[in-house]
Amino acid sequence: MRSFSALPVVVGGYWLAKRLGTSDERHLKLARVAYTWAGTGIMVWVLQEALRAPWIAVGWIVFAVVLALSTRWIRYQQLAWQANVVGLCALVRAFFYNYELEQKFWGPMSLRIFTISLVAAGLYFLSQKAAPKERYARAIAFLHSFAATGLLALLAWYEAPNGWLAPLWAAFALVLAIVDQRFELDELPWQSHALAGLTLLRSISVNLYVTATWHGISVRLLSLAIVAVIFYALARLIRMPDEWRKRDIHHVYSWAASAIGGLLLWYELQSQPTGIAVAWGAFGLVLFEYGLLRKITQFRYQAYVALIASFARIFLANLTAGEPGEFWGPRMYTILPLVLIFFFVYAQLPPKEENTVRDRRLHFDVLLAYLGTATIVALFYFQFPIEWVVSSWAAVVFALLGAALLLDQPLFLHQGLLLTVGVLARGMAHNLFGAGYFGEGDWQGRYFVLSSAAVILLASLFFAFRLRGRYGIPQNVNPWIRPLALIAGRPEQVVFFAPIILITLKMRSGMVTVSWGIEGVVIFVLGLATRQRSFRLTGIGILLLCVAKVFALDVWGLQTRDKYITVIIVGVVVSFVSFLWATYKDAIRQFL
Amino acid sequence: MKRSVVFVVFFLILGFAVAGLYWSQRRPKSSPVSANAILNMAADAQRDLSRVPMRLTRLSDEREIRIGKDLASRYATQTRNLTPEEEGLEKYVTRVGGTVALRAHRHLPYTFTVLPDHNLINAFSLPGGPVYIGEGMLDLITSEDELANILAHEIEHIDHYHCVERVQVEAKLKDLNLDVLGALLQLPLDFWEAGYHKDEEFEVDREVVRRIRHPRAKPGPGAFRAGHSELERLFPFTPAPFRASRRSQPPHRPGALGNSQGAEAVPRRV
Repeated sequence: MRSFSALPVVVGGYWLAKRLGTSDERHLKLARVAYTWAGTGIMVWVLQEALRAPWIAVGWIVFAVVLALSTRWIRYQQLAWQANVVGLCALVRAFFYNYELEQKFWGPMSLRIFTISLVAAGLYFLSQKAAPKERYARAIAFLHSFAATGLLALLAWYEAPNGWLAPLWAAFALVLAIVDQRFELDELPWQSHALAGLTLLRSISVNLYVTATWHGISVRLLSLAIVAVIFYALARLIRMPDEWRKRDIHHVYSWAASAIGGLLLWYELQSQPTGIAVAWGAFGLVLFEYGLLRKITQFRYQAYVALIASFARIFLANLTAGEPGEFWGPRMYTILPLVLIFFFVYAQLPPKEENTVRDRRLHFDVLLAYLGTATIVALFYFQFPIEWVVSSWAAVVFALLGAALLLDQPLFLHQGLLLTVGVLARGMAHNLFGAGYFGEGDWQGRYFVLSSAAVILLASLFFAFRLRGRYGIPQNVNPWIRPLALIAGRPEQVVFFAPIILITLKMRSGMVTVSWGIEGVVIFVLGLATRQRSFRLTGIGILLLCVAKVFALDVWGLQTRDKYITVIIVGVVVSFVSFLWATYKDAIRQFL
Repeated sequence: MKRSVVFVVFFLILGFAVAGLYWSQRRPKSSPVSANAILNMAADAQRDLSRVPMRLTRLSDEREIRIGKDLASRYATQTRNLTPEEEGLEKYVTRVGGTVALRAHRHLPYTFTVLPDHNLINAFSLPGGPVYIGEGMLDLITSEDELANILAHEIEHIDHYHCVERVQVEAKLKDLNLDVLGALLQLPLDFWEAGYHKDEEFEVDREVVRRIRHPRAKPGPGAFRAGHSELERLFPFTPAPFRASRRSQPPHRPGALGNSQGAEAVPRRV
């Protein structure tokens, strides 16, 4: 009551400021300033004395609002300054006192929520209505608006339990962005950015490690899913200068959302880590399709990152998953979908599609095709018994060359040729030189394995001949690439000689000459059938090698039985070729 | 592609991926996360590449035997003399080992030596035929069957050139001349006690099953079960006859041991 006795002093101060009369205009201004400031100061004191502690900040902000409204009514700018100062006093008071008010006020709402929300609302009002002059309007707006947002963000910190703060902040940022869309207030996007940054920090540092549940559902899953969705929405809604939008700066939000999504999958699937790769793959697929559908490049880039991550991940968990001897296990059903995803995404990046020009310029199409093939090659490496890997890879070569022919995709031809070299290297290093010294007695020995690989490669000649010369060498091709392009122009040579080398080298020392002789004839006849001069020359070369080997080594070194068999068979073979030569000399000359 | 076809394929692939994810999450046993896949591939590649020069620089059996004998004679000076009881034990080991060695591919002069050290729970071999077994290992053996398995394992290391290849590699690494035996004799005894590459261990174990341990019986579960209680108690994760390989064997690659597990493992791979 004592403080209310000062009210007449306040009124008197304001009355004097309005009614004061003096001839000196400068003195009049000074006096008005002094009386109004004194009146406002005393009023602030009155409110502090008259109101209960929790409501002082509210009283002050209401007074500040009244001052701001009065400014617009009587057009006296000093009142606007006073409104700003009183508003800041309310802010400081709320910050230092009201956050401790945990007692319930109305229903589940605490006194803290109610009083601070009122102060924040007042500050938002002041941010728009308390500018004394136009040139200060932007600064005043930023000051009060940031202060109000800060108060509310801090209020969320106090009110929300651990896991829910991040989605609350994210939702607040989204609300600010929506309001900004409607009213175009320059300060709000910045507040959205700040809140989103805090949300991201909070999500990564706290939410990923939350283990609590809400109605049986993981709080981490719920909260981060909400944050991710809001971030995707922010990428679309938040207002930015056009120049920034052109440079896709707003997609920082979609990148953050995708990163949160990826991390969320990582943490949620920790109990069965084989699921992470396939989950990332599916996530990448969805992002890609959305990016393609809406023509948003950044979504497709995010998809590529997710797909690359899923590829890398299989080397850490999936390839070694499962039990020994288990065919349809986690390795198969988590990696095979990835292979399909890689090739499906690749298939949607055709050269004629204008929407994906940037993707192709960065060679994502090539990368994905190689990831798909590399994934299946790695899968086969771990899926099949180690000696059969070479045959499984040969089957992949067959499929790749077939795909190159049927789909008219030179990329698959290149992959097929590359893998053919891989089959050759693998067959030589592992199945020939790396194999045990003493031959296997059963049907799985290296003869059967390598023969099967060679047969599959030779079967690939069906496609290789049809692909010969189909893809010309580009005009301005790199000199280093030119030899490779030349090889790609004659795929049948690679596909033919790789199995021939394997077959030639796998023969055992005892009967190697005989085997080479028979092989030479077969190749020669094959060369005649396919009209391939290189094949025929290879066949004759192997035959000559046989003869040379017989006289240089076999006659002196072999066991008696092998020596006789070798000399007899090589003699028969050479006689047969001589007979062919003598009979069809002219025709063969034409072929050679 | 038509948009409708794309959507159908998209949902099919997505459904397959989700099904894979669902199946993987339903498995009761969690798969380990490690770089084993990469390590396996690197190790396999390294092993395959190292086998090429081994093949091309193969020593003759005579030279291998000579190297082994010289190494054995040098190491003989480093151990104490056997007691009469230990000498009897060594004769017994030689008898069992000699029987087993008859089934080896290469007919080398296999010799069997007991190292009088109760703390040595190991067996190893040198190029050309010498096989060593620690007395600590013999203390744990409860049957002749176990002893035969262990000796067969070491014999197969010699038989499959693993020992002599180690000499070749070491000589290459240290730039030693294989013709100058004095340089090779610098290799300490411990050098031979270390295990071999996992593929070599698998190869040897497979051969033990196939040719020596059960020459007529089809390899299968239980081949190694005969009385390994003490060894298996000490080393529960690896079959007892694989003791010598224990140090070198990394976690096995799925599929490498066929459909068997633990002590019943029957390697399938070459």
